[in-house]
Amino acid sequence: MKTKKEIISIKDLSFVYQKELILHEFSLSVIKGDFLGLIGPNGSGKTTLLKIILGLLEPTSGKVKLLSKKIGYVAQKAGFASSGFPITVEEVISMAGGKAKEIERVLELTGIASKRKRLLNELSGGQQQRVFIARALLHKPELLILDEPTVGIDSEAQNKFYELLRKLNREQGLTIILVSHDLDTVEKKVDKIINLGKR
Amino acid sequence: MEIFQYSFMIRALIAGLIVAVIAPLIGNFLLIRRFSMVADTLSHIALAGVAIGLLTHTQPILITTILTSMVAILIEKIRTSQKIAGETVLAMFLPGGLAVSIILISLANGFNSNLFSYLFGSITTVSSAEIWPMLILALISLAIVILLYRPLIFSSFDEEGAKLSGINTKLMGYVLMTLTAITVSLAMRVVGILLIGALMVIPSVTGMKIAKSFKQSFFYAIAFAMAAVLIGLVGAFYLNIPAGGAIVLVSLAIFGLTSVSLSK
Repeated sequence: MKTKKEIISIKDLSFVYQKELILHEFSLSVIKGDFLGLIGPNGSGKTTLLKIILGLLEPTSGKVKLLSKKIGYVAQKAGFASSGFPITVEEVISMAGGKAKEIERVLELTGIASKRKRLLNELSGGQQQRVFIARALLHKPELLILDEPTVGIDSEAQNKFYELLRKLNREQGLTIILVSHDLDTVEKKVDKIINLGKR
Repeated sequence: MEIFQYSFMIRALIAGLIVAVIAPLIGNFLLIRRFSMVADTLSHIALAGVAIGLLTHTQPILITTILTSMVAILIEKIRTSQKIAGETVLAMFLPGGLAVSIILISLANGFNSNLFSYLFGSITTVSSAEIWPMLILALISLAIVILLYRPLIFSSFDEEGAKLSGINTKLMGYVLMTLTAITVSLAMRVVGILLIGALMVIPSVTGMKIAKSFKQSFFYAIAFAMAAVLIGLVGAFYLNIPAGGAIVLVSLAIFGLTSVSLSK
């Protein structure tokens, strides 16, 4: 029987911003291989929690222990995706470094190999998100964090998107934390739900 | 061609082509950061540098490069502190630079023809002694962009993503701002302080309209800037009009023609 390896351990985490309590004594344990949905309405502290996990914010109190430094991150909406700047799929991915062989691997893995020479702004919202996932996967992360990845994407593309995440979770053993405000959709797609709104 | 029988025109062409390579190269990064107005702000700081140079009888290009680089780093420092929005910082520094310049110019007993050559450009009076520092600064800038291409592009497109990838985004911001300051100092003799922003932005915008990749947009932008310098310089010579203005107008005409041909 496999031993369950903890990948993130958060204990009694609190975060105060401009005298407002955003997170209060929040605890969470993420196990390797988890496909976790972190949900809650706007202002519930989801993005704050992500930024603390990613090391972009310091908690006011509490402990955050990351047992893997190999983290891939897909932001809520990459600003340049709809900017009109001429940047190809390959260029977006290679920004993060990596050799041609590695870039090829993530292009295949995310199913966008045929779009490599296309401009990012010519792709649909769902395809653009695949590009950002491909970039996040370049350095073989153990944990993939996605912040509201399906905002502005139609339901068919959303289904395909969740299929890709499920494939990465099962076949690659990737631990996934997905942040969303859409409880109805996310609870059908992930294995565990943490609802920040109920805290 | 008749005009290339004159050594001052050869020097003008060399100076113009140096700037035509560097200005859009840096301009492309400023555009994707949505920070292209920084070129205009730094050009007003450059005016203060020129005034100091004229007042103290030192080489204006040297003083200007040092002063604009220092202010460029200060602007980036304030912007990244996130206490004041980027465009607000520029809106403060632009009139600030102009205010200092006006006072210094009055101390230097007002405008003279030398100052006008910096304000509106005077490419045909560029001396051999000015070409060499221009070339060296341009080569250094080019080398930095080539060496730091990936971190510069990543931090310009997606600052947060780049930071999480381990890129020192603050350092990249300072590097880009210093390169902008150097470019402004280089370009002021070619198109003039008041028109530098145009040469850094217009060819880049035109290049991005037709490019099929970001790398390709650099080549188009540089080609359009070179064409603008060449046509503008030749036109200015035969029509007896100021070269700086002619170069920028040609640049705008290329943008207009490209837009029209794309809309067909």
